[in-house]
Amino acid sequence: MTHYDNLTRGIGKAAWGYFFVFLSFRLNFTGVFSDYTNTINLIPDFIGYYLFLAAIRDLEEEEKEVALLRVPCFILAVWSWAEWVFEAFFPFFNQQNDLAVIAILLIRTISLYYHFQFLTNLASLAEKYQPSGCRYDARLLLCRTTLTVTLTLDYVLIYISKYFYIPEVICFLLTFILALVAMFGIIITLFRLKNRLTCAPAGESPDQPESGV
Amino acid sequence: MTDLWGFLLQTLTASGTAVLLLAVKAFFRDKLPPRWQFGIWGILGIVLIIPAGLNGKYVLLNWRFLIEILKARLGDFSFPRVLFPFPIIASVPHTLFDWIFVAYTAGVVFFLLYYPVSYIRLRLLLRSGNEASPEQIALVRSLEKAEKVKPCRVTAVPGLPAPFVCGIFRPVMVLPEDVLPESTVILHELIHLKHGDCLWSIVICFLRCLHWCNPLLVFCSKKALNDMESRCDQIVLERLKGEERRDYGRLLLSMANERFAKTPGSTCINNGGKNIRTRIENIARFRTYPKGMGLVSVCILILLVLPLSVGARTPVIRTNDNNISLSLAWVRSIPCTTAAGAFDTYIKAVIDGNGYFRAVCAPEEEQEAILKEMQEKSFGIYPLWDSGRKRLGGGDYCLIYNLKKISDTRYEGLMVIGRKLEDDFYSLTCRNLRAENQGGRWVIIPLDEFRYVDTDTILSHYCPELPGIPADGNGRVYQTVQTVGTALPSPDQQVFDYDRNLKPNANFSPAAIYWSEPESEDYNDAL
Repeated sequence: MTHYDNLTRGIGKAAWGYFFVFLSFRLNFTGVFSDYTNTINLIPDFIGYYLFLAAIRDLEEEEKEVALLRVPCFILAVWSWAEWVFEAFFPFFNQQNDLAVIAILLIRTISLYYHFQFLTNLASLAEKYQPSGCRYDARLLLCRTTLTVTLTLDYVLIYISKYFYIPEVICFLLTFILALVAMFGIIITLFRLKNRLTCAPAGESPDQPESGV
Repeated sequence: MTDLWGFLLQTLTASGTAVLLLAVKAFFRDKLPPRWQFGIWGILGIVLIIPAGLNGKYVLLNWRFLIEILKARLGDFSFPRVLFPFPIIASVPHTLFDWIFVAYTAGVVFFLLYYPVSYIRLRLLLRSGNEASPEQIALVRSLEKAEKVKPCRVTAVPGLPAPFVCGIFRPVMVLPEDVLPESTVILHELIHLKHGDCLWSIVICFLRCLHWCNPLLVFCSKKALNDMESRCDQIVLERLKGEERRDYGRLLLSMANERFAKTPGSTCINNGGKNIRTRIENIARFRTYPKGMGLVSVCILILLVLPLSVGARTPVIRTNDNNISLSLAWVRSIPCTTAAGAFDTYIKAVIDGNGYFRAVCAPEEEQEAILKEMQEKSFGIYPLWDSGRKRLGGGDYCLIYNLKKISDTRYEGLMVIGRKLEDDFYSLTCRNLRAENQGGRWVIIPLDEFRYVDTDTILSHYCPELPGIPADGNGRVYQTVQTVGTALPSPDQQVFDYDRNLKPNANFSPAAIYWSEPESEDYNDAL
């Protein structure tokens, strides 16, 4: 397995990871497991984070800083798994208690950093390996910035709307559309990057000997 | 803070934030730049200057509950209140707790005097300094020019281990006499100057003085000062290359010295020998952060600053009849933040015959009596809040008639709880109430006894059995009707909702006005 293979596999896993993290397909059941409404997400986030962990393993040789993301990614994977289980089987669990609110705040902070850093690292890899004329790195950086701003804005609006009236249309326009653009931008760019790297003729692969790239 | 409980509330709130920030900082230690590591202490600074429990909110955990439990065990039923983030002795001390608060205040005064004295000593020492050598001045000026820092006075003091900057308005660069310091050391001090760190050191020192007896916050203040140094180290290291960075670390080690390390209004590169190790570790971990790191740093700060400074309100009233004093401690930790909230809470206390609800809106002198009544009587009439009628409950109308604003801290109005009986016949339970703001907490003081009125007048019209307000001049009478926790009554609406959930932060609905002669259709003329 060459560095280049690891790279393409890693980027592919990252693309699928974002697919699982960003997209949801939820089925609701009422009165099946309990009197509450149980929700099962058929595209669970924790699979996405598991794929990210695998991608980090593949990419850390190429981009050393990616290794810093292993712990945050693991925490997010465990959290999203717990969230999926509670949503599906224990919907009566009250997320309004103070400790849960603190945990959610920490998770949001970690998540914000994780996605920012991971996308920065992916953009850096794209810059090194993308075919000439392609601007996947710039697109990833733009999506990264949009996503970071949107996640922050979303949280701030939720917080402020508890105390001040903010029309829902404005919240929707500000966050949902931006998030949609960022999410699909990331997924599509990563898949395209992966395809371009996979399809590149063997002779053109920028694989280097052990000394690294 | 006017008593020990207020101080405990403030310092516990800040401690909770400090623990969270330390955890977040530890997690991001090698991930976010030293600028962020220092900047995040600003959140703790905000928490320390905002009075704890302001507007009925709390930060992270309901700290007031812990204090209420402690107070209830000690037989103290006063409300802890924080009007200012610094101590004020408002009354002559009587109890042991008052004296402990006096001792704490004396400590604050001592430290607030001690640090300025140490600063004055430092300035006096500078007077004994000589003019810096031309080489030293030339070096400082060239670096000032490169860093775009306003030129400052340069002086040389004999026997000084390391250079430092002192003063806010007229800063002085102090150098060891007869030694030409390394340019990196002077650069480090100039970066302090550029970022106004002398002022920050005073702010940190002031806040540390306010919480001198809280070891966690004292630790945080030291850590903040150290982070300030690490931030300057980072900026210096960004300007150095390879071996120069190692030399910078060695330089730090050679200058480890405690002298002047913690004098507010000054910055010293060594910042105390004990902190050198952490900084060397930071230098060893040095890396340049990717472009755009500032964005995520600011976003994480925004994410943390809202819940940690604005705080949250208690979402639910938790009560447990097996432990009355604990439940009362919980409800006492939830203040009514509005006059309407206090009326709403009192009405629900009467409707449900609920002593916990009454405790939320009762003045502090009634709290002990409520606890005793609840512990003594498992059932029966509770004179402090019970109307004495058969339990009311669903289908009740809860209204405030003729609400009058006496002052910004006082409202008066007639509470009317109506129950529809058969054939459009209504049974009304009435009582005149006053809502009063006592130290930021709205409480209800009944002004007379319960009265019971039966009427066949629909409540959404002028009710002749209830008092009216004479309109000026024309001899007509009107009534104003407002709701607090239920739907607004209107002439067309015959169904009123009764919301059982307490709303200690409720607002008054707009006033509906009913004239004694509704056919005149001169509604809303009077007010």
